Amino acid sequence: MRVFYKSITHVFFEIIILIILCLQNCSGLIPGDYTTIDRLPNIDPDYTGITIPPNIAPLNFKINEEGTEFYVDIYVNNKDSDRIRLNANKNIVMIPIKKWKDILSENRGKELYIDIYQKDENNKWNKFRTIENKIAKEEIDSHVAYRLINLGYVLWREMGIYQRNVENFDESSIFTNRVTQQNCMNCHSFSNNNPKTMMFHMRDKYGGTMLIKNGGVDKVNTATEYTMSAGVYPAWHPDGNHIAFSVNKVGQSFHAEKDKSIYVWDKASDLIIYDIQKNTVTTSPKVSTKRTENLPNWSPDGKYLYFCSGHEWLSKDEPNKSKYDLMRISYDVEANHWGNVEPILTAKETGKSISFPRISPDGKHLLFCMSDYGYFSIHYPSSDLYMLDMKTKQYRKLDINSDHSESFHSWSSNSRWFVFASKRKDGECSRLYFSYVDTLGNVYKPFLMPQKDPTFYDTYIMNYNVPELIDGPVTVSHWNIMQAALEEPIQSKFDSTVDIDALSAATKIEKKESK
Amino acid sequence: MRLKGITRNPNFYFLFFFLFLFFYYLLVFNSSLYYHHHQPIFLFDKTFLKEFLLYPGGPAELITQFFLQFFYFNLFGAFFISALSLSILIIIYKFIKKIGNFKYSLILSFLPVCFLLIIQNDYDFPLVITVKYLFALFFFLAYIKIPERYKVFFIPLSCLIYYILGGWIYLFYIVICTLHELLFSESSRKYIYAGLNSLVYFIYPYIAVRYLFMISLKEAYLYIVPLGFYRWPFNFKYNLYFYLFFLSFPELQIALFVYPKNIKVNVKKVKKQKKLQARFHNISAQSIFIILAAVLILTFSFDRQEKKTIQIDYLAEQGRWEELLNLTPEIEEYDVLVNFNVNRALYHTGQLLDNLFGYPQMTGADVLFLENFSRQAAIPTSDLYFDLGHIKAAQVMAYEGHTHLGYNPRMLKRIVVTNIINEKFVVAKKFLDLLNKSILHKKWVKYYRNYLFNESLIKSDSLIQLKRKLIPKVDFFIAIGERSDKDLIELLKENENNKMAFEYLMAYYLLEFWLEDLLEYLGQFKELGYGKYPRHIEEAILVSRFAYPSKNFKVDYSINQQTIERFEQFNSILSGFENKEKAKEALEKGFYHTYWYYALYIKPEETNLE
Repeated sequence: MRVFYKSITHVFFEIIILIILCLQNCSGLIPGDYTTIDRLPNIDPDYTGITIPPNIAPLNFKINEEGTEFYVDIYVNNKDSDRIRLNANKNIVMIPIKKWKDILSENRGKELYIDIYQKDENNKWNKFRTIENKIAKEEIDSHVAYRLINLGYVLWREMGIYQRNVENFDESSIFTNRVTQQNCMNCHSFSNNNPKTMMFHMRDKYGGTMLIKNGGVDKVNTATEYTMSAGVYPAWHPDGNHIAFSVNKVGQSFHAEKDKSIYVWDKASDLIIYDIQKNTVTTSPKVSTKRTENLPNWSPDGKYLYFCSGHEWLSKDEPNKSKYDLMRISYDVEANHWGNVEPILTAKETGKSISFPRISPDGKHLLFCMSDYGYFSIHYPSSDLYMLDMKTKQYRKLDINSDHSESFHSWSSNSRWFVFASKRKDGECSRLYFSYVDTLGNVYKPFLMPQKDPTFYDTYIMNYNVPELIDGPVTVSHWNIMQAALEEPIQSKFDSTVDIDALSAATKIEKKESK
Repeated sequence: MRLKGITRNPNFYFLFFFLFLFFYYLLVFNSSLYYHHHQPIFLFDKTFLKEFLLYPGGPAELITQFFLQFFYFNLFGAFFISALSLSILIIIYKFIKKIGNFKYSLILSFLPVCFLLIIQNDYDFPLVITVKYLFALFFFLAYIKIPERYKVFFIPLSCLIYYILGGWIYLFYIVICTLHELLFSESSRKYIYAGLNSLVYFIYPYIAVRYLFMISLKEAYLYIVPLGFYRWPFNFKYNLYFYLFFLSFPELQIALFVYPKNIKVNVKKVKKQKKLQARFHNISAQSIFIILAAVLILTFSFDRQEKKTIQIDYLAEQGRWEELLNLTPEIEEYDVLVNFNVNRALYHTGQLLDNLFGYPQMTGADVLFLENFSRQAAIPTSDLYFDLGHIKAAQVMAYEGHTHLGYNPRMLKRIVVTNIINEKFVVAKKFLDLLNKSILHKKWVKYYRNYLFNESLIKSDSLIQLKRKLIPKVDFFIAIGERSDKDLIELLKENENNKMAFEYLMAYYLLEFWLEDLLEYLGQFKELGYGKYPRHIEEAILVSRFAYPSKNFKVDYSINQQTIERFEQFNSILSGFENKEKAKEALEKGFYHTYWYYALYIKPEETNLE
């Protein structure tokens, strides 16, 4: 019996100690006596001085400071209900999601403070300068869709299009190439940030463009005998029934110099518009010229098609001469009527090459990349983000750029946030960053997409590619996508009213009636 | 008496069988070569582990991957494969014993194992199949031992078995369980269990593909190994032995059912003493038989050429060039990768321009660089570029290799080293951190981690210093799918003392038969300190004089008299025949290893070799 009681007592004390430890971990007392260190703590990811959406997942981080113990105090004001206190023996800070979400949603527009205390080897507490972040009033779209690809440039093996709920840490695959014999898939795109209206391409085996609309999935072949390729870079018209594509003859060359990687060039490229309902492809001599028209994007009212346009391709050996202008052309989807091409911003004016124009849904700002040459900006360290005021036509380089590539930006449906891919973290792997844009067009310091494990990115060697913000999850089942993916694609028709093709150089179509 | 007791115990023979297999895999097969060929890695990393949990069959592959990494140590690999094979033998033996006392139970148990030994005797074979097979037999043993009242629960729970093993092996498991019910069960519900087993095979994969996993329908039902095994360098195929391996156990079940009276020993009628004696003789004879059969099977199914081909690549990775060249004559069939590595070895042993044509350069200049972006070429091309000091190109190919082959330690290490050379320490650190999650590579990681942001230490590393000297400072585009001499010329522009680039350029011109280009570089030999022209260059000069009599080109060294005489002899034999085809045999004897013979008979343009 004595042994029994002894065991019971032992277990009881262990439970008490566990409870104490647990309580201390969740809401331990702030160290009363500490020395102030007059600098911000080094935390990774850098979540200091940022503006965050009220619906973002906890910004877990790692404290890159020496210390035997850390104490973290996250708060908005002095109310205990708006406070998270964490005591960590290790330098990993994992914030409880429920409390975090409560604090953020109840304190929109307010400052969020983070105090970090560090216990040094002499058992003395030090406190770093308070981290001050701001909780925005406006939410970010709940999901971001992206492609995860390996670091190889030419070969591939496994890849897929994934979606991440940015309000928590849930990631799921929309579709992966495991079911399609590891073919290539790319260029996923959504209409108006709507997860129900999506498309992406598959190449090689099972090639075709997958169209997902209101739960249905179709596979179409947008390549016709009058287009130089199937559709490549897409842009959904706001009506959800038309998609503008570029058609490209892409080549790539590899730099021998250590600071550059790859130069992607087009031997030729034109623009086409695919009408989903009629299953037809159309173009115009104005966007199928000897110049290289590329990277279309619609204005939010759907009246203008913005695109990049480079000069006629001559040689890959002089990349610095390959610079793209920003143009637009009006297009009436109902009447299938094209207006005239207007230059918006030229390489001559900027001295740089413009790529990936994306207009905010409220139509006020145009976000784009500029790099020293070419258009495939994710591979160019010189690629930076710029913003054009649609009213004044003034453009400016954003302060959020780094020494590495910034590219593949996508607006949130409320125009207050955008996501972009940047290689700033290590210079090699692209990661997703979110930035807040206020009503005046000021852009705030970006922050890295949070992960449950803050050390996740340290050894993660896949690239986040083409992030697209969407206002909910893609719900169409992979089974439905797979059924369509494994089928033969529906062949699109070339618009019989057009007498010009999209094989570049605007070739006149002959013997149209026989086609 | 004690010895007698031991010899009556089948375990005694199992031990023999194990030892035989162990020494075979240790000394003949060499499982380190299996490691080199497959480059398995196991990372204690969430992302890595998660990848294996996202499809049925993944868990068994994850477990196998853990063990495969230790094949780096030949002893472990030999032990592991032998233990796997023996375990399968024992389980089948136990199963037969459970069914009844059959005369040739040991030989019967050996039947599936003999097919296993054949398919396993191939370096391309995915060993995970053996592991999954073993798991399936374990689950089967559990199934037949489980009390009948629990079967109704056990069968539905086989969804876990499906998840662990994947479609194909699950099918195998279901077939043997169903057969067992139909053939050997005495239960009144045996048809229900058999039906239930069949039903779950159709239901679970469908549920898996419909609701749970991102896999195709075919994969759900018939998945066996990752897609990568069906491609280079493994090119896994379902051959006859593979099917026989999987069919042999169900066949055995049917055989045991169909012929029980003929082969079963009527135990009751045999006196105890006689029975034991019979058993002793029976087991020892059977054991001797299966060991002899195993010897024959392993001897005849082993592809020695495949082993040597892998050995060549292994030696190339280790930089053991002399050994590589010594092994080459033993390889009977032409192999592009062997040719590629032989050329590297020839350079590293200072013989490239003297003995290049000692090996039949059947694919001409293409073999110097391989076809850069074919899946096969990524790793070897990265090696070659690294040799040349073309570091960015080596890195590009390493990324391609990593992309194609997944977590490949050889390429991960190349990525680390090239990034250190290029002073990209943050990227190097990322890959070091990743490699550090593997048990096997910690020592390597520790060594290179010291180099991060530590230029003073890097300065003491002669290899890195040498490579840094050779790095092109002026940018150009890496020649991919174009004339490979462009890269070599650029490398030489950067550093005219890049001897490998120079010799490869000369070899390239020799192989392409671009003699005019070659002649322009004759002056470089003196500048680079060659005391004389290498033999093949002399041979090329003589051909040039013959082919372009009007062309004046300066030679810094006189041509060796022996070479001149041999050239005259070659021409004299050649002119003695009506055409070159008729002269081939006569010239082959004395001139096979000359540039002249290559130009006339081996060059791809002459052979129309694809």
